[in-house]
Amino acid sequence: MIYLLLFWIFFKIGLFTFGGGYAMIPLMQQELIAKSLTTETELFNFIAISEATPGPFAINVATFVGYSNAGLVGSIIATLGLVTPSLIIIILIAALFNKINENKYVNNFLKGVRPIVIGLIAFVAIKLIFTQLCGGFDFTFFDYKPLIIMAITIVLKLTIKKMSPILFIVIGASLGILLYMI
Amino acid sequence: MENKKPNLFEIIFTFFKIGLFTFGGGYSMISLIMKECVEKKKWLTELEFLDIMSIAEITPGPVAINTATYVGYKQRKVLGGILATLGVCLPSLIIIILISIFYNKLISFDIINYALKGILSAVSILILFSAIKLFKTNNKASNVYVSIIFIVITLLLNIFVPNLSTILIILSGGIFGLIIYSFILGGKTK
Repeated sequence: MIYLLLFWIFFKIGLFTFGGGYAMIPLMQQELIAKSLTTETELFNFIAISEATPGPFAINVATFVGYSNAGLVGSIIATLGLVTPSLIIIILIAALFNKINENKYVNNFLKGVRPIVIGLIAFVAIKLIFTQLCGGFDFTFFDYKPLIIMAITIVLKLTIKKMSPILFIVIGASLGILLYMI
Repeated sequence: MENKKPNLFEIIFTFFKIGLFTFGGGYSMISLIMKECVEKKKWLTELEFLDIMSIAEITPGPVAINTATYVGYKQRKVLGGILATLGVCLPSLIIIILISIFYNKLISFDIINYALKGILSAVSILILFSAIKLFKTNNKASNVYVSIIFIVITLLLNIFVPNLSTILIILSGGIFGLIIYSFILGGKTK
């Protein structure tokens, strides 16, 4: 049943997401695409829209995937699945929070998890960049238009200290429309 | 000094507002929570907020959502945590569902596709920068060389063994970290 599948997959994703919302992307790529809940193209679209719309990035993507597979109920179930592991942990170990925070073994476990997550997020970025520029790691073509937008983004990121993400979205969208209309 | 604890309705409403004004990465939500709950409403002190953030980072789930959950929990226990979480997710649900209803129609417009392509290009760079930033933060508490090795291994695995379960890689990393930091390295103090 699609509702159970959605809940279970997003429960798993929520359970193994450590850190920011972007850490969810590698898990989503693997779980969702493998189970045919979405395609790579569709996921990339969801990611772009999720950045541009209000709300936590992770929830936006979950809502999209849930809706595209099972409508309104699907979107709610996917979102609930994503947040349930965290809620369960609160209910179960709330009283122990501070002890866990200071536990040496928990911290050392996380010291191992963090660089893995960093590598995963870096890989997502690299894959996204290569896919847009040349269709993947096998260089099927070369598109210079994404390169222009990426270069401008990099320059802005390096020069202007606290630029709002909204501004990046607007600039990205505008440049996209400009470049691809030619 | 005992701050006035918010009622349940106030919790949902405040976090709904926070969710509605969160754009971009989760860290924008965290700074909004800080502005609303710590500075404006004084539900908790900055120190308590920092403690919550460190817990939010070590428990599963996106950091931003966890932060909301735990701030809500601090105010009204389990029910507060649940309502804060639901409150922060509600704007997303509504807006994305609306967009989804028209998704196929929207995608059929070239101009929308061009805009999305442009956004994706910008977002790829933002994600790359967030990985770099996380790396710098990570080095404050963990051994740089170990981290670099873990990162390189992760990249190589993703390139050459793409079907390897991501969850397995994460768990293995945790276990290796546990072994390396507990028994082999002294490591920096937490």
